[in-house]
Amino acid sequence: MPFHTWLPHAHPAAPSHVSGIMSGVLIKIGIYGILRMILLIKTDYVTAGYIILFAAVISGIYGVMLAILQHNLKTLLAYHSIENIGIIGIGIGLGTIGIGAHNPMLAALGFAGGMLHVLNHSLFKSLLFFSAGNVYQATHTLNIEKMGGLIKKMPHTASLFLLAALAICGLPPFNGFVSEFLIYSGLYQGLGNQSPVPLFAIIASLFGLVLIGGLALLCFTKAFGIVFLGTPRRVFVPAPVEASWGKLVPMYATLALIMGIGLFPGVFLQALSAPVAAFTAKIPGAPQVSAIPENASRLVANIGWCAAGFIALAGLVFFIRQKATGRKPASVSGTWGCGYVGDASRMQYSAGSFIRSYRKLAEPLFSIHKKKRPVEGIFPVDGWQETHPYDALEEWLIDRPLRKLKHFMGKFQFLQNGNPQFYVLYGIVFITLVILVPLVVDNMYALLDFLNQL
Amino acid sequence: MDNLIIKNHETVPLASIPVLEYDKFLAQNTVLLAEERRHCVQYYGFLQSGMVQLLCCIADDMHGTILVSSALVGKKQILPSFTAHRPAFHKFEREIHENFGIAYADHPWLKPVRYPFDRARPQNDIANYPFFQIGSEELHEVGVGPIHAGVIEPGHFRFVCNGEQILHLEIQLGFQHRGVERLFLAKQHLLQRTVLAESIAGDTVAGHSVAFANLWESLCGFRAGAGLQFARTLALELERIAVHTGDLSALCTDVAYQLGSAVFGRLRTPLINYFQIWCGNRFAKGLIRAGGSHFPFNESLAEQLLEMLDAFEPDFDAMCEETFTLPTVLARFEKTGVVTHDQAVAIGTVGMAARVSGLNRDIRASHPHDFYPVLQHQPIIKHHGDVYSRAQLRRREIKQSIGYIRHLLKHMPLDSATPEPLGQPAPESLTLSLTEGWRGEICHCAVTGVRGELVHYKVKDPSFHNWLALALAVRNNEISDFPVCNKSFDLSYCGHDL
Amino acid sequence: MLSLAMIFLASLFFTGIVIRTKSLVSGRKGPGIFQPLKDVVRLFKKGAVFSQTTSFIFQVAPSIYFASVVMAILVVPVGQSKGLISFDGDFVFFAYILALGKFFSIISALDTGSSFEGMGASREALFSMLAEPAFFITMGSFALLTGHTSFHAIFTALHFGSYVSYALGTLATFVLIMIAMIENSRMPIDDPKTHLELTMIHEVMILDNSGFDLGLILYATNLKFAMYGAIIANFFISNLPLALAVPLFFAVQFFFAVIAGLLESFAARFRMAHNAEFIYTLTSFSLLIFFGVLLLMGKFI
Repeated sequence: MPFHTWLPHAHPAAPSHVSGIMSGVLIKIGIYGILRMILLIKTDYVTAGYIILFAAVISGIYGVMLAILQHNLKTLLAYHSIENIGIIGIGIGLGTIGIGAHNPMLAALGFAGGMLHVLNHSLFKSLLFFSAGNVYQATHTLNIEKMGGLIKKMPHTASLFLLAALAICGLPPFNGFVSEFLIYSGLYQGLGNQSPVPLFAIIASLFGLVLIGGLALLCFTKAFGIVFLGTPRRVFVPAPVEASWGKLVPMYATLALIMGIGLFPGVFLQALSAPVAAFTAKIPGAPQVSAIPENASRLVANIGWCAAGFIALAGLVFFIRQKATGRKPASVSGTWGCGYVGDASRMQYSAGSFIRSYRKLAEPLFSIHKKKRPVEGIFPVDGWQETHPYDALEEWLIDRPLRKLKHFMGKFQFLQNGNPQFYVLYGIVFITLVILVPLVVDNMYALLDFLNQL
Repeated sequence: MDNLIIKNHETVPLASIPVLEYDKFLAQNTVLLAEERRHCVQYYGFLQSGMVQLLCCIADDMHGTILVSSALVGKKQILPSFTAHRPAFHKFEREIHENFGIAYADHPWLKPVRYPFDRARPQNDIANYPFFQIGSEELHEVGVGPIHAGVIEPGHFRFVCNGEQILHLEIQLGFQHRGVERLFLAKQHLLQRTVLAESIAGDTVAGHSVAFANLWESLCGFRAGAGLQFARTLALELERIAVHTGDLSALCTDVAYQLGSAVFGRLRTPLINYFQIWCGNRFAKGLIRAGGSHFPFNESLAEQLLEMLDAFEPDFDAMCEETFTLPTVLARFEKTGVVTHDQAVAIGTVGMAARVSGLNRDIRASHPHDFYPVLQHQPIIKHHGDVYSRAQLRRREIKQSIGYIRHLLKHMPLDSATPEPLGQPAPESLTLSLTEGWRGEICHCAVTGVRGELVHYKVKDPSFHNWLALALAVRNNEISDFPVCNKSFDLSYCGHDL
Repeated sequence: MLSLAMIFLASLFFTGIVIRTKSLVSGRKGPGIFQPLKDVVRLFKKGAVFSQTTSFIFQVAPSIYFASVVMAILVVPVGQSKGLISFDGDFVFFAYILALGKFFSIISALDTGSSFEGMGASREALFSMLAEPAFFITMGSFALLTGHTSFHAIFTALHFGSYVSYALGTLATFVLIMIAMIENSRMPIDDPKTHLELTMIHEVMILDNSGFDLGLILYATNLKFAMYGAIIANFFISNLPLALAVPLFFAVQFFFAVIAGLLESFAARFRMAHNAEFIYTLTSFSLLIFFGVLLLMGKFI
């Protein structure tokens, strides 16, 4: 932010596996750069930390807020990358503040959370992009509004997408929760002994992180619900089929890693010990032995246990349900449509409708281009409604200056009249100027000197 | 102008109605509607020696008259439509189209009304009703009904929505078509016909039965005595109070205001119980009979009525005060479901739905019958056309009706009202009866044959005009406000479907 | 363990009291206190109807939703007795596990492909998203005040000393009651009594659920209510001895239920579009608590 505008354009254009790598590795280079710089420079870490924190919170919220509005599945995921970079940034910002404030616990939690999220994001985001790729290959479109009911045709892809979506929303028992939890712990740690002004920064980041979580939930319930659930909104020819096992096996492997981090976060946290130590070492008098404080490891282990406990509990409830309902009659019939017997395929929420209330709230912040013909008259004949969410920052910072520049340059178009004689003339004028200007300037100086001597 | 000018409840020979060329018929009637205080009360067709005789009745509210004209056209003909000039005719023409297969070239919305199986285009059925659609992928449709979540009548509402916002609503009715008009001809006995009239709409028993009784008496040349007229006026006003109170309760229910819902609900009970005391039926069935009454009104009934009203009024006032000052309720009522004056005029709403949009349409004032000339009724007019106006109108009309009842009871006529045998209906005649029910004007229209037998009977409930007003009112409103808009109109499904 | 048992007990009669209060206020006798529970038991015994549009999501979602609520309850302490799970930052876990349940209830509604349920899902997703910051900031402020970050530690360390802290307690109670009303889709956000699909939020999401699954969802609602009641109760009973805390816990639950019933009796539901604004106000209330805490700690310049 605001140097993000290329990303949402690049992702839909790239093939899905490339998108996966792009979001997993490519965009993390920036993060790597920031981390290296923090190690290299010696500066006022607190101020640097606040700058990072501020930029990160804004990026995070802005990214996810725009993501919700998207109709293109991969653009949506691309904006989520911006959001996740924001979350990582919050972690790093906190860590940096921790270094500056000589608070090893805060530094460790911040950096550990941030770095773990780098790993987590590359996992679940790749998985999401791979699933989106499967969907694209099956339907040849990325427009969410055209899809629907794909879970019946592609159950594996759908389940993988769902689990990755839960992980990206930072919900337990998946890996996203572990890193977000570390950052939350860092934030509450940061609430500790501070003067009021930084407290506001912390509370603002807390607010930001919570909002990001809530918005991500809205976004992925929309994405998953509209793409995979309900009844198909369009008949695809040929009918969508599940991706081959060659594609699915790597995806399941990624999922295994996601679950692994979610259930055994301690192991991964220990692995982060060395890099985090590099940062905490900057604090004078910090314990050098183990970078990750004892209670942080215990915390994370708790999360692992709770995650496992939750899975067991959910399994138990489902088991009881199966036992209890096993013998009872379960009939299958249509979704309740108030007894209407006609065609009901359009009577289903669309992505645009799902998020409209949100869009109305967020509208002032974005430039959403609407095309509509309102329904008019007692007996209307026509009507249309379309929204094209567009990045307001891109519009203001990149498109407008470019357009202005283009406009300004356009004024010189008359020069290019296609007449070779003129071009020769321009050449001569140019050469003359090149030779004359230094001469004239020299002479001017000579003249000035002369005048001065007088 | 070439038309027959009649009064309310007047029986005229069929032959006296001018039969015009269709073009002239069209021009004349559409021009008549240019004046806001004239509206179409009935436009329909009946078979006349192989041809369709179209009969158009325009009520003139300024002079208290009804202008009748007609035209003879062939079945399955293609004609220019009235609707293209005046949308108020749209449903009448759809009905004519459905009954006789007359096609209208420039009708914007020529869709089925009731789906009967014996009409011009039997292949039309409910599943392939041509709903208005918008192709945009971002919008979705919501279909509600015909089976609703509450215990109400069947009807299908199709919304085109943008998230929570309603862009368009189309209402498809006709699920309850019972063939009421044909039954009027099939049932020969007067009692059967009276019971039929009482059953047209369960919430407007007094309204429809008074309309029928007055029509039949006029057809038979019977002049009802003061006692009968008194009882009919009283029944109409009592029904108005009862239903309005019930509607206020329902309005509160729909905005989830429990106190209002419970209290208004309780207040309605003694009102309808009073009908039980009077005639043995809480909805006034059996009370109104052509040519007399089995339940004449008397001093002791009057006393009970006053007692009941005295108990009703303070509670009602207190609850109204509470409801109409509660911010959360007002926030839901105000500016919700607006029907503008222009819309109301264009589509020809009647009754309450018209009066909230600043349109003075009240049969009690313009075409008074029974005791209404004595009461000098001044209609209550509201101008905003929103749910709040419709709720306020009910409150004020209840107070007004209570005032009328008190006034009537002071000058109670005490003549015998025992049923008398009626004479034979006049042959080859037309009678038109307009009655202001609680919802709006009810119009019954009868045509007799050579021996005085009914050859055509036409019923029109105010809902027939007003359903379109509901569809227009909810545009650009929140979909979650639809129930309260719907209730504020409280239209009849069966009265429409017949 | 104690907290689980007590919340479970409270959940048995909570909704019953709400309904009874509403009935009494509107001049009716109303159903018995245990009627909602009997309904749930009846549903548990019934068979089910599933829509052919639905997938396995629809089958597992109610169980996960129920499990998430139970898991969240395990975190909540009662008085001095810890919840079964208690660690630093456990209220983050609490909120996120509830969010997981919500995620599943939303997608299970979308799974039916019904416009009604989509409508409910869309409302639920938006409103719960908006309500989340209020909870976090309220809890964060108390974490700041007490210097602890787990439910149990916060509540046991919480002492209402000055007027300001009483004001904070009241504000927090208000915010939590409102959050509970939003999370449980009650008035003034949602009308649970209406029969009209178009005006509901939670009820319309479960339109196609039946039998055991519906029972699970309904019972989870009761549990959720009691759970929020328990959190509110903790503000008042956390440093009392157990003998006093237990009766007081039920007293607070009872009052909470009565307040919920009264709230639903004397006001109309908000317009859907106004709900978002109302929920935002809650966030500002929670910010007030935050400033109050700052004031209390003398951190205001």
